[in-house]
Amino acid sequence: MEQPIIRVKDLSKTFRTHKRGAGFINSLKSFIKRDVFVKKAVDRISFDIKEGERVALIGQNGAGKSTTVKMLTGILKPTNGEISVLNLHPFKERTKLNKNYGVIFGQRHNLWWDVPAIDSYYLFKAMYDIRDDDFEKRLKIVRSSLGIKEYLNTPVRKLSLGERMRCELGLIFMHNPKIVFLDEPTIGVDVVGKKKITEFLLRINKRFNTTILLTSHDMKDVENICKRAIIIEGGKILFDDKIGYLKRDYIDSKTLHLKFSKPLDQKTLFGKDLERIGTSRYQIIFDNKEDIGRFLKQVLDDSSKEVLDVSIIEEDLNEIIRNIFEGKRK
Amino acid sequence: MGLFSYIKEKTLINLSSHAEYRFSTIAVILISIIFGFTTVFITYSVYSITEKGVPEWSFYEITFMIGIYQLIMGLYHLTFDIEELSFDVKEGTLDQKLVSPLNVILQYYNFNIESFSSIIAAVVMFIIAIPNISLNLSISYLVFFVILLVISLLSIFSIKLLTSSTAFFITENHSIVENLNNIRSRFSNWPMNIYPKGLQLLFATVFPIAFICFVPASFILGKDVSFYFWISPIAVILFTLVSVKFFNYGLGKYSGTGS
Amino acid sequence: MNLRVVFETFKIALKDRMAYRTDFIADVLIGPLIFLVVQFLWTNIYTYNNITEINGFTLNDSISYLAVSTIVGYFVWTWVTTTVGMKIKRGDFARYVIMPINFLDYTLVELFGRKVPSMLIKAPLLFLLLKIFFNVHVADLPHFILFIGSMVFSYLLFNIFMFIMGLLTFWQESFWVFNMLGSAIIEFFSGWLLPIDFYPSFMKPIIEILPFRHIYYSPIMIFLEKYSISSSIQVLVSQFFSVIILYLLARLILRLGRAKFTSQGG
Repeated sequence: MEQPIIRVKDLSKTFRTHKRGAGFINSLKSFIKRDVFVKKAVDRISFDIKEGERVALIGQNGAGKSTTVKMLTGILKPTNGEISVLNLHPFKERTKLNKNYGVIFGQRHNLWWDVPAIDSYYLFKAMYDIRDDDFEKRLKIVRSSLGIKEYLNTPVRKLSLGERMRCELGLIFMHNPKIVFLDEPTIGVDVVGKKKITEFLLRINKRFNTTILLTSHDMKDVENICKRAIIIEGGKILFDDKIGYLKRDYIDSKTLHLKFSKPLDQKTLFGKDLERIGTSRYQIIFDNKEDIGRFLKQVLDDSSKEVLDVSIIEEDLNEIIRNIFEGKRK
Repeated sequence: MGLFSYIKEKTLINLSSHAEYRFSTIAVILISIIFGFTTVFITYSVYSITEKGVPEWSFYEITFMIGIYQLIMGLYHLTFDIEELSFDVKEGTLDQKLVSPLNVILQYYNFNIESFSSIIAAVVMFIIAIPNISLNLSISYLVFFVILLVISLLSIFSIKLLTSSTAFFITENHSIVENLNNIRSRFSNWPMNIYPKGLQLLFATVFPIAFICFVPASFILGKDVSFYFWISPIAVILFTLVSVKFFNYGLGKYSGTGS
Repeated sequence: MNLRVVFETFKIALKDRMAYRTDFIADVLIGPLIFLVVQFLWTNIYTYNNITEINGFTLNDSISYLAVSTIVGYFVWTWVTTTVGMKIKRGDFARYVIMPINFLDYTLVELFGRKVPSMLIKAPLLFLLLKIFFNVHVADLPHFILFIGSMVFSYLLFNIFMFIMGLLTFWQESFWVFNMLGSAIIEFFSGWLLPIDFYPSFMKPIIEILPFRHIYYSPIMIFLEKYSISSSIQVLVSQFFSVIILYLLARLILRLGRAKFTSQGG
């Protein structure tokens, strides 16, 4: 069996923080005495990731995604549990691991602000000891597939957010990392930029078998880039499987839209409630167990009504995720 | 060699960043030269209003000593900027340095062209002072002198590393760093003999600022520094080890901003 | 200008300070240590030269002068140049143009609000420590009242001057350069480093013409009772006129700069 590239078992991280009340008196109080409380950011989570997988970490703000990524990259020391990345302990053997991964923290930048991005690429080349021919080869790939040819020679502060993020993304692939951690890489990026980023990530994944661990709040990105999702809430894993299964398991209803040649004068149709949404348009909600096919056949066979248009609408991923977080899970 | 090319690339980036703001870079250098002369100005005033000035030292000797101080600070800031650590810890940008394969301290290498101001100030001070003082310029003295300058650089580095590392424990360490910096610069700019013996001992061991400019200057000026001279390498090396240990301990404790 | 603005900024500034208690405590406790160097240096100079007075200053006068100089710093020093410079560089200045207030007046009040915690807590605390450990001279009541009045003018002089430095950002976007330039001028011409009586004679005529001595030297001399009540009042009048002149100059430069700003913005 294939060895996982990332192994996490019963991993926990707790923080001690101070509580500071609002208001003037409280801030004076905090000057003398502070209440300390322990917060469980990550609570006994376990998962394995194999080489070449594209995995999304999904969770609300403060759910523990970033903490998990920080433990995987060796920035944070785990409080408890087992963790190994490429058979190394990230915190204890961080320096050995560094060259094998790439990281993007969406809100912070690796590129130097006042100089063209290409200068930062050369700095990275020196930092990661990249061979000249490897560097040139990968620069070529990155340049064309991210479409950043003309941006690389402009001072970074003059680039738009999307342009800058593409340059950032290219940078962390220069040393051919085995794993990339992408923390909100598409935040604030426009549609064109997002498409470029998605295509690029898929291409790199296919060509170099690079493992991708993505955290994002944008479910479209998640769907486009990843095959597997790990959903974290309150420091615990709620779901860990293929994104397709997420739909299968969590979608509890489908909506059928029907358009007839003329308005109907009835409230139900073959036992289902009709809800009018246009002059001659209706919507009918089915739960998962019901057979839409049979219903449709009945409607189409009914010669008293002429159906002009049919569409079936699934809940999208955003809604599914929201349902999960709001506790409406099965 | 990786490290060498890293330094080269970072130097280039620092240089072109400064080139983007040419006016301010040049202006900052010029104005900083004036600031470099603050203590010399006070010294000059002291010697113009009193007969003998500061005990056992002439105006030119003190100017020469401050010249060494400026030279060392110039060399240090020209290449290093560990003070940025406080910012990195506070803003969480240290994460980026941690995920890079290079040693964290080395990543604070920074070519800061503005520090040439200190070196220029030092040269001007040497031009003022050297015709009016007598220096021991035999080969063996010069060799020792250079060694003392290296020790001086080492003590600056480790003092700064130690004070900046407080950021790991007290996130808002601005006042501590600022005040300790002030103490370091104000106390090390005068001959140690104006301080009580206890304080002199402190500055030669636990907080080794005597080695920044007083010891090298006294040595080459032929003043008696036997007390400092023999403990200097040991004290500074021990202090450096402690600083690095403290930094590593802090790094281990570092817990990010957890956002 | 609205008093509530002053009060609110004061509240926020104080809270901001309280949030970082270690920092605050460190500042108050380590601050006086720096002053030891002054004590040792001047004690040595007086005893080594075997004198009791330098240009009318006894040892205690000299030490008191430099102690009060530190205190004055707590009252007048703000980040006005960088604050103004940043607003101009980033374009936030436009927000103030459309407000029914004068940018100069607003800035002076806002920064004053931020200054209050350090004036009311830090300065007295530090002075107490300096008094205990270095036996710093304390003014009698009339001189103390005049000193406080003089400090108001000091605050205005320092901040209007440094405000002008910040305005230069309209012409050249490097406010930190102007901040350094302003600080350098104040460092050498205000009597912050030394009593002006100790200055080399060639500098004294220049200092007499410039208004900067009124920022440090004049209030400290009042505090040390080096001036009689009547000449102290004269100093205050002179300070007042310096403030007026500098204020008008600042308004003029602000107007010139504003024209520059709008034309840049297109």
